[in-house]
Amino acid sequence: MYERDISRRDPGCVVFLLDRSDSMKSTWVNSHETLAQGAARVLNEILLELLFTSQGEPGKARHYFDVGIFGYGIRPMAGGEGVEPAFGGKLAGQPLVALPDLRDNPIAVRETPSVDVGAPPSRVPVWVEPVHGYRTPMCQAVAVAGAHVYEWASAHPDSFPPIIINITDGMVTDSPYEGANLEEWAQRLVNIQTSDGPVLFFNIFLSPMAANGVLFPATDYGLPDPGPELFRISSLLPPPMIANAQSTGTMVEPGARGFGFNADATMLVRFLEVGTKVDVRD
Amino acid sequence: MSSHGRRLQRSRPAPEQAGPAQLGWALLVIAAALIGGLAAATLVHTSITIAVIVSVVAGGIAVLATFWLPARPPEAGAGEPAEEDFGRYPAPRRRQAPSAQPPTAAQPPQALRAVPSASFASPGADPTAPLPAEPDGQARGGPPAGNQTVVQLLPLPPQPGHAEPPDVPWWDSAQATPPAPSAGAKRAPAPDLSTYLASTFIAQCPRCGAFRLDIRRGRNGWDFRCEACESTWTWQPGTPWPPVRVMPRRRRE
Repeated sequence: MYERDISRRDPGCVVFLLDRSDSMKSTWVNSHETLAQGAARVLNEILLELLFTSQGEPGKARHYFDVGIFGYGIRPMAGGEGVEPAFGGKLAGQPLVALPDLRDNPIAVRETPSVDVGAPPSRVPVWVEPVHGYRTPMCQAVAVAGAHVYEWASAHPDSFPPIIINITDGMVTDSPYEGANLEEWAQRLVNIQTSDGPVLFFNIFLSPMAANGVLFPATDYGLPDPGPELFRISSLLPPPMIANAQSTGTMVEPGARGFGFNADATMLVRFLEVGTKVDVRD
Repeated sequence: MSSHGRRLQRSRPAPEQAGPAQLGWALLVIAAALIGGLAAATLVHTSITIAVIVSVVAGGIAVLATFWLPARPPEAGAGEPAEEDFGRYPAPRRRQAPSAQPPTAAQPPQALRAVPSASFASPGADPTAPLPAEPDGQARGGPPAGNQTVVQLLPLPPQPGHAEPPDVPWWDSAQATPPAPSAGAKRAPAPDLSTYLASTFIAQCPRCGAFRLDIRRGRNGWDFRCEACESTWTWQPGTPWPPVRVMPRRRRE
């Protein structure tokens, strides 16, 4: 399992579930960013990283991935509380977007200060904007995204299994949803599979305090709520991603799961780098 | 009878409820038989009394055969009510038939052609459930009344090309076994992790001994920063880890 390379014939699928509840307005300690702003910024960086990975010729992106972002909480487009695709601009409303389309349709290209001293500011594309409001309908997010992931897996039976990464900071507020609680919805999600294995479902819990954060733990021992539940519904890290973690200097133990708890922005970046990196070939 | 079938019933009229037209036809047949019997008695020189009796009996039998026997269901015996199968419903009470026009051989019972099969095509319909009451208050799906003809409706066969209903949720469909890989599918070997634990060590701050480190890839290896004491250092894979001194007092948290 999880041995398939990503190629244009057998592309991959990465789906992000982005918490857009009211609590995402909290500000990270030692930062001027809210959780919503930090999560959106990191997501945009990861999408750009995926584009770099998939760059065949300069200025072009190969169709190595289909990407989806589903926001849950406030719905900027439809209004009210619920789940909806989080892309803006021309991609608004689209559940899954091919990388070439993603490359060509950012909401904006903005200048950000460079991390290198003295270097000119970087121009980075933006696909997701930070918003927050309402509660945390996480079960509904899994249900909505699961339908699209299922369709994708049916259309790509030989691909690396879809990767779903849930970024949240709060307790689920809609469990049980349509008769199933969060663990049951997660089980339904990982029942989707390709010939290379079941769907990978990773969860990262953000905390504005950013204290005692853990990445890829092998046990939920000592974690406060909702850590144990999120740990249980998270998939085991497959060998390629253990290798990813190893290459970034993150120490993982056997049995580590795709789970982060009390994460700050740095940990979120590392988590997404490990969780979205899959070898590609032509 | 299938338990999922529903019966509708329309009964024939009782003989005593025949109208004046039927009575006139009966008298006409008997009169014709009587005339024929008298004529035959004259020709063969037999007793007129016997001829009258035979003619009246023959005419009566003809009347019965014409107006009464053809309307009875084949399984019912003459003169006794049919024992009908109503499934889980109780046997209906016989009601007096309304004074309607009796069906004739040229008029097939309406219920036999009045119920289209499409009216049961709804997937959620339970054929055994009583239907809503008609405007007149009579339930169509209840026990068959005495004035109805029995027909049996069978469930529609599945439509071609629809192995399962289209509204099956994705999580039920996802329970299936994984698809077999295609012939041309290529696999990459999984990373060799057999020596992973043997070649791995737990990174620890050399200055204070803390384990919470921030790591970034640098130009000359890996750049570390201790989140407890803010100490920074660089380490290259293959080189020994700097000696560690556990000094909790140096930590700022």
